[in-house]
Amino acid sequence: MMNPEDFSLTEAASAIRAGTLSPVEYVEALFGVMERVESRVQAWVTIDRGGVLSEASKCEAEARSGEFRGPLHGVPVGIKDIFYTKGLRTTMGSAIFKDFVPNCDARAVTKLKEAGAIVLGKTVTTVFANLDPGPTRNPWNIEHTPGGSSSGSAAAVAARMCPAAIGTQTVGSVGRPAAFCGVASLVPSQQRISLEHVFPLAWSLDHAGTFARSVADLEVMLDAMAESPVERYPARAPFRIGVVRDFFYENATVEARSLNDRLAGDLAAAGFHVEEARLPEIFEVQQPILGTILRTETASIHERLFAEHAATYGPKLRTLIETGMLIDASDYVRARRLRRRYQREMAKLFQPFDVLMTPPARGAAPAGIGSTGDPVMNGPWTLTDFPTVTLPHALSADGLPIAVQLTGAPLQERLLLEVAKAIEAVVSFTARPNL
Amino acid sequence: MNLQEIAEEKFGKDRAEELRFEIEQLAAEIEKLRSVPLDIDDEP
Repeated sequence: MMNPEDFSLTEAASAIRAGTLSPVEYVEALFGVMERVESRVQAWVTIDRGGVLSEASKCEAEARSGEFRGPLHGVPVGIKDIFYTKGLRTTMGSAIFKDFVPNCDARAVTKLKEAGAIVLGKTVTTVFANLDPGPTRNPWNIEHTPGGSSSGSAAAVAARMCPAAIGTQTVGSVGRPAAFCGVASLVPSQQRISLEHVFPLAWSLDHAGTFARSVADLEVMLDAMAESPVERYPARAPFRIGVVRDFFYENATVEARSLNDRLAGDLAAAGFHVEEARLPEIFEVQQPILGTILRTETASIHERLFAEHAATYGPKLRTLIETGMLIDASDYVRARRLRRRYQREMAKLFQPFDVLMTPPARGAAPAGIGSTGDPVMNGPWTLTDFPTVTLPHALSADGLPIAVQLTGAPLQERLLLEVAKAIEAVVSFTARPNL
Repeated sequence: MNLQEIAEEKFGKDRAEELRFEIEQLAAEIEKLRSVPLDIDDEP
């Protein structure tokens, strides 16, 4: 029999429903993994073991009497430490909030609990979900960054400390750590998952996202957290994949480009319709649009806190806020207006394609934990608000995961997930970190 | 006033100097945004 920690989320949920996996034994198995690896990975900020075991016991009793709260009944999940959790410390990765205990759950956490999930604990976020790193290390090689800002969520899923976790992405904070840690991730369109009681970095760019070890698991998590049902459409295989090279290949390592091209070739050989997609002219201003919106909104969010606690801010966030304070209203509005045009132009890319395919990072996770890597490959898609899935498909020469970033048309999460499942079946990525 | 001068006024000369590279980058980004003509249908 498989070790419980190796179950995917859907396998664990099915086993609990079938009575072959006890929720208590499951969380105890995950605690056992934590005891073995957490001192090296450092993915967690707060875990209330007593509370988790008590909730697992309740789920177990309910399951025995045939009562199930929802599709995630008894399944433990990790929560990035910027989502409010009722009665459970929520630090935002900042000394300012080191003792903050919310009196309510974030809406997304409420939805997960309603679906039967157990909050296993709070995962490390970089300081206020920006670029100043936390202590988390990459489970594939602890001398390398796990990426960020959702560092702990990605690392915890990769290290088998939980089957799924949630995070947020304002530029590249889900896709990049997923790529570096070799797990699957989904960032749906902003309106799909509520950000109520999630500490913001930049309101108009912030997105909730999820990590798991299969695309099917991502879909279950999305359905559990979505504010309204995500539409289903008939699948239309053979799927049409647009490979976007341009900017993305200019910023990728030779190895990342080569492995991405190899994947495109494998998909074409497997029957996918694969062609190159070319970026529109307005793409040239995507970085100034993104940077102007990000700086201005972050400066506004932190206006009061920063005035009182500037010394506690990391250097990267401090610089972001201070430069944001220099931007005048007309330039911010200009950036917002150009963003709309950018979204319209980028959406036209999907006329001949179901999904677009790009590398999700420059290459494998960089060495060192002083930086979380560069979100340059994710920002263009976060700015569009198009849904993205990141999926590991290969290993670098150094034995670190290499992933692909798949982007769907606006609000087409279901089609994106269908294509991602089909690609997942072709790549059959089974490597795992050796901790 | 240019952005460097505004920064000096807001954060003091020393901090503004530390931020010089980022401020130059920001100024270049804003310049690029301003170079794109907008029309009436470009709503925020």
